[in-house]
Amino acid sequence: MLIKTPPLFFMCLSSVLFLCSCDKHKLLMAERDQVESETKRMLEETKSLDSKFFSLGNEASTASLTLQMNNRDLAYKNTLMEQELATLSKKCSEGEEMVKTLRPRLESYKAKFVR
Amino acid sequence: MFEESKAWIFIIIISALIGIGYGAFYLTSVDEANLALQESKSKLADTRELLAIKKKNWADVEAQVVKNRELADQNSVLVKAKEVLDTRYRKIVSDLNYSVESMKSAVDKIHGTAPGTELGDITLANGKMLRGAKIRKLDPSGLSLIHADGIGLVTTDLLPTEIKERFDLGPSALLPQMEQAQATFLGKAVVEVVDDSSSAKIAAVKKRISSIEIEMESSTKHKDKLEKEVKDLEDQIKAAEAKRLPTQSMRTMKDVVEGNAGTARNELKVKKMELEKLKAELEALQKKK
Repeated sequence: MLIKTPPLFFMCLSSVLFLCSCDKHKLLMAERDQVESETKRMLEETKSLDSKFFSLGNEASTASLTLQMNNRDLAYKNTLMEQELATLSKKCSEGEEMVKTLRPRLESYKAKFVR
Repeated sequence: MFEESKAWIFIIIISALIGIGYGAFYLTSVDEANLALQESKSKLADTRELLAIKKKNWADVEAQVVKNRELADQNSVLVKAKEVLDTRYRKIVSDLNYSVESMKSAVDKIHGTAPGTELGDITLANGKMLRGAKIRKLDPSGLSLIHADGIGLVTTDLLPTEIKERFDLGPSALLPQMEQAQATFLGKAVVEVVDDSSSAKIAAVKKRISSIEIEMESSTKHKDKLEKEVKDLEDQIKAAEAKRLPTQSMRTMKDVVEGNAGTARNELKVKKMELEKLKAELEALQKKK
């Protein structure tokens, strides 16, 4: 009878303690599910970004590069065109000035000498 | 039969074994769950990193798209401006062509009817008077006249202003001026064809020099811009390497920009050489003159 009470007591105590820690596995699984769902959400977001990249006809890694190169070409073209326009505008002004000077002289000549 | 104390020992041992077994099973499953969680977390971190990179790429793409739209707008404005200028240019060409043709036909008519025209008494620039002058023949260098004292060619510099003006002769003649203006405007090399003097050559070389200088200025700006971009990309690559981010696309871009910068440098070198050559040619022409 001497050992009758302590074993029962220890068994009850260990069972209570053990049952208290039973939740840990569940908690871990719940956290894992949460992490997995977050990963899934991010993967979906990544997929949606990929489809956007593909809609541009490019891969994610090269889309920006391709666009940058296009922009650089376009900017260079615009610069050249601006220069061309500046030259053309100057030339037109000169030409208009020439016409403005020569036309009255022509008219005056014709009026004076050509019948 | 067992004694009561022995029975308890037996129960305790059995319970302990069951407890240990279950405990081991439980601890293993917790470890496994922990491991799975760690793996999931690691996967999440990778996915997050990948997503961040893709988001950054997308942001870059969006920025480039906005820039592209701006450049395209600018380009369409420039194209419209060019159309307007082209119309203006065509009108000027047509005005100049009309003026030249009209003047040519007027002068041809005057020149055609010139022989036989009586000019009366005329006083030449040297003070000599020709009585009863009549045009015998019209020549680019002057007029062949029949007058009271005989026949003679009077050069344009000796003719009175009103006669020079009427027959459009001499240095102030209108038709050559118009033709010159037309040729200059249309960019024809009239100077080289009509006038092969050293002054004309000097003018042509000077014009080419100034055009190359403008081109060089523009090319230098372009080259500097590209070199700056290469430096920026190098910095970006270093920063990305420090953060252990992928650098492949940046490296490819750097290679492309570096190649373009090299081409721009070469173009600049060629232009520089051409400029030096032209400057030497100009110096020689000026000395010769």
